[in-house]
Amino acid sequence: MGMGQLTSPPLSALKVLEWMDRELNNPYAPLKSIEILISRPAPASYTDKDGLAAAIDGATFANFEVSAKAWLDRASTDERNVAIFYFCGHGLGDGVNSHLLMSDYGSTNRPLRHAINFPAFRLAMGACEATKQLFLLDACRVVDPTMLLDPYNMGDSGLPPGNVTKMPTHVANPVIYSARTGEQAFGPPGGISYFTDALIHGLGRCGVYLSKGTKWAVSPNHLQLAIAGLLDDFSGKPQCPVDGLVGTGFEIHYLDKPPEVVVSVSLNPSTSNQEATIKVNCSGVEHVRPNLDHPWRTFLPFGPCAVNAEFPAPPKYTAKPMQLHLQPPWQEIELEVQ
Amino acid sequence: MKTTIKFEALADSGAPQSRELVCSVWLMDERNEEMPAAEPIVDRRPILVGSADPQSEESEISLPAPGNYLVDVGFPNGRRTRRAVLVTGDEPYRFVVHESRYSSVSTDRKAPSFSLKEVPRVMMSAARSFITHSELEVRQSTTQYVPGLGGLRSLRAFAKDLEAKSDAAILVSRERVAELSHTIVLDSTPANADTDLQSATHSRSWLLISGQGKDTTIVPFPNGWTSGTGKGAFVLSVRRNSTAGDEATKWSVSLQLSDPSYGSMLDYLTRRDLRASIAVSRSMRTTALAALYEKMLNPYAAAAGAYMLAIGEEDAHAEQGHWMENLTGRFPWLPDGPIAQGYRLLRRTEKGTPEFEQGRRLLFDAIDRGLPYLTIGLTLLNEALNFLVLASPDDGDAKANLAAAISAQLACVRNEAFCTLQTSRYYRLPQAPN
Repeated sequence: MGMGQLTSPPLSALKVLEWMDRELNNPYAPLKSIEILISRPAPASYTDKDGLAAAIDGATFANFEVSAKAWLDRASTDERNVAIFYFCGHGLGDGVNSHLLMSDYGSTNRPLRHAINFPAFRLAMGACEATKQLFLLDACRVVDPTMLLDPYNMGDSGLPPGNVTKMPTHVANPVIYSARTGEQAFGPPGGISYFTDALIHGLGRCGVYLSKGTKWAVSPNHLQLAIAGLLDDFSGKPQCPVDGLVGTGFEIHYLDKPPEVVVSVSLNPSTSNQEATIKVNCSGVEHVRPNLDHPWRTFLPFGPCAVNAEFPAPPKYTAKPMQLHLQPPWQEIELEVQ
Repeated sequence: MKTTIKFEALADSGAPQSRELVCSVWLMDERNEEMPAAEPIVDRRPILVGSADPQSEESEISLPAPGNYLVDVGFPNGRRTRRAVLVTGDEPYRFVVHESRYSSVSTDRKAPSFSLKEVPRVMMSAARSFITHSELEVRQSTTQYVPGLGGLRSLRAFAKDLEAKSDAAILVSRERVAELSHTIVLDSTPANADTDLQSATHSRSWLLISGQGKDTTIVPFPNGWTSGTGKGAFVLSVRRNSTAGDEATKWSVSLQLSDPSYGSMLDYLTRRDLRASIAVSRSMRTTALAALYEKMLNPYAAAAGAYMLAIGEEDAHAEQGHWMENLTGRFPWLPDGPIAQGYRLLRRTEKGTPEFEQGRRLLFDAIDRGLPYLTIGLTLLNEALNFLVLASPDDGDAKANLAAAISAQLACVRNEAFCTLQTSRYYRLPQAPN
């Protein structure tokens, strides 16, 4: 169908697999298990943190049906389980409705036979007993769906039909998307995608809130804020569309260290940027902007800090220093310059 | 002197668009580093910006004491900003937001435009310049509601008919536009709720926007949505990617309510940001307007309220359920009523119950009524029909209705508050198999 093998998704999927295997920490969810499919020219394999190696099946639709059913059944063993679905690859859709293409997409004259009808999949997950579900879709939406989608032939959920008797109002099931409507999800050739990179940072460093006032925990809401802050291209357009985020969400992962904060520092007016050395002092440790990026985006430790900009002598500008308290996941700082 | 944050909007040129933003504030107390993560001291307060004459309570937040605060502001377009600010007791902290960050219309919308009155007609010798001055045409057409006609399953024929008869429609605007974007202010005609809006033969209004007669976009126009004379009730913004070639006639269309409260509420609702929608719906301005709309029987505003009720978690009071029934029953041409009522029923029941059957019938009724006014309606209609098909894989009618709803959804602009059907996309979609 004119869609070639992407190099980024297999690497991105392996990165997420590695993080889930080695880092994911949620003592309140009884089960931790992973179901993964990856397609690439040479079959993928993975050695887990206990040293067990396994070959990974390709991401065909038939394999997906088997894996999805097994995953749903395991997640259904306890309502306290947190079900996390991650997809990276080719997609069709418009930002809300997505069709996720499996590796055998286009192998028949009914193309969507080998694509996951994501809205149907998410609805069908309503039959799962796990009341906390998170869907992460790292897929392009640059393809015009009217060119390829047939409303009368929209593909399947991949889950057994007939189990759905209620709309999933009893579950929290937010979706976080990588790309804006009609745009691509990007990834460097041979590297993990930008969304997945931001996702890993959000999960492990900054997509957190203080759960019950005691522990730093990643929630879908704060994860989305972190990813949006990391992916912000400063064009003014919203990043990282979401659907179904309500309340403070639920705990996905607990941090075992203090969190960090994604910070974007800018100067007002920006004309002073070329000559500015931006410095942030966090508890005695100085962080200096290494280049002329404007805004300057970086990670800083959670807590109090002092922000300032210095200019070479004789200074044409003077910045008004700021004393701040940095709070995860993400914060903008605008230094007034005169 | 009170310790306050005063919110202001800035635009590159002219007055910024007036909208309600949703603001939360946390106290950042350095003596207790964990304090910031506690509950906000201001939780989702609507803030009016861009208004020429805002009341101080609408655009300011009073704080308990000078100090460091974390301010989080959510915008109707889905963006947000989050800044730590130091507020003193000497003067209000000016929190300035640029219009380009919160507005959902193009930032260069105020670019000057030429009209036929200002530009001399182009002669043959100036054909080259004519090509770069694409004619933008906006017409308003009406169709009398007839049960069974104009439904989503026959939307293709309905849209083609609307286009074919557009010459007979009211010409709202025909301008030779040289810029990439353009704005037209539209009036709303106050309607008589008893004799017109509640009539079984009510005529629905449609806007048809095209460039040199091509690439028509159809928007169901909620004519009658007004709290007064209707003057300047809507803003129609159009933009394109290029002034030359095929792209010159492809206008992206955005119909927006001028009213900042309901305009913002619809934007939040379109993105299913229910908490922000509810926050704005409870603001001073919206509450006052809602009372006025209720008195005037504004079915479009009622539909927005019904959608909030449909996707919300709260159980409706019996009175609210009755009110949703009335919306469906009293306005038989309004698709949004049965969508909201049907969706709400299906969310609270399961297969095999009488409520399930009733919800199914309501959705089918909505399909027969045609393109809804609000995009959130199309989204919920698709979601509910998708559920019906999953719950009953052998339900052929549900499958056919789902396909019709998907077709409409694929051709509509998802982030617009009002359904915005791009016919060039719609006509490319496969038709129903025989």
